[in-house]
Amino acid sequence: MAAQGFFSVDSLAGVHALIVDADEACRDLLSAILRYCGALVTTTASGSEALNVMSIAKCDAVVVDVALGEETGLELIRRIRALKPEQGGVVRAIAISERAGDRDDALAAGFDAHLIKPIEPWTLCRLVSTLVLGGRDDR
Amino acid sequence: MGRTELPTDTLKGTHVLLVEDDDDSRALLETVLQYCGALVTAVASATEAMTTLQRVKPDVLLSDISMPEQDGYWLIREIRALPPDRGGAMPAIAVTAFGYPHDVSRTLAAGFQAHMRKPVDPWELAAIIASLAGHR
Repeated sequence: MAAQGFFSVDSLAGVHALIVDADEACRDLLSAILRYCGALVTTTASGSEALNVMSIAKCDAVVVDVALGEETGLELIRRIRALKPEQGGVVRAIAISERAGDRDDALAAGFDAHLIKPIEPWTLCRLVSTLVLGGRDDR
Repeated sequence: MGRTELPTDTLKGTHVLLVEDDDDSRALLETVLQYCGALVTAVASATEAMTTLQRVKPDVLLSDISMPEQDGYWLIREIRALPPDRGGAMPAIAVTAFGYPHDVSRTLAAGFQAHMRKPVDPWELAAIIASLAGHR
């Protein structure tokens, strides 16, 4: 998987990505990246809002800032992993943080991958694509 | 869903009447349907839906079942009592919350063509609406 390079605009069409980040500017940046690549994007500022979204519509991927605020991203992923599969417990999950040292904790808590800020946009799109569409050969 | 057919085109040219009293659900479902290319009219109650049907003729109804005052069962009864050229025959999909004790046989007997439970799969929802709208 190349670390750099443009990722085509329709690559994430048919992927519902949920972004959970307390920082509005960061939420907007991440959603702009994923929307640019064609994803259906929902954003929330907190873990409880994220769980509410997941109770309404299935998500293919969640992108979570580890430092969420009152409830951390690690607590959120534990609550997500405790859900039944049909409620979204098996959703592909990406942790985002400012420190490489958060990686082990993030993966241990249930995230599938960890990205460090500043995030390279095409790396994020490629990672979402690999995690969500990697096993689907019809897309 | 093949790569040649983008999910963003699934509902192109389809007018969906969305009836949902919960603000978060209504906003999210509207976003999903618009992403898939639909023209969406979203209302918060069954009575608003009936008013809307006096003005426009959507292709498909997507309605929550549990709503305060008039629920989804009331709405589909009212719609099925309309003449076909006033929307009485429009395809309808019921949506219910996870674990809510509405069984599929009851919603189908009431006049809905399909029943989906939350959390709904956006792509499954779009495919069902497209097939009911007859655009596929």
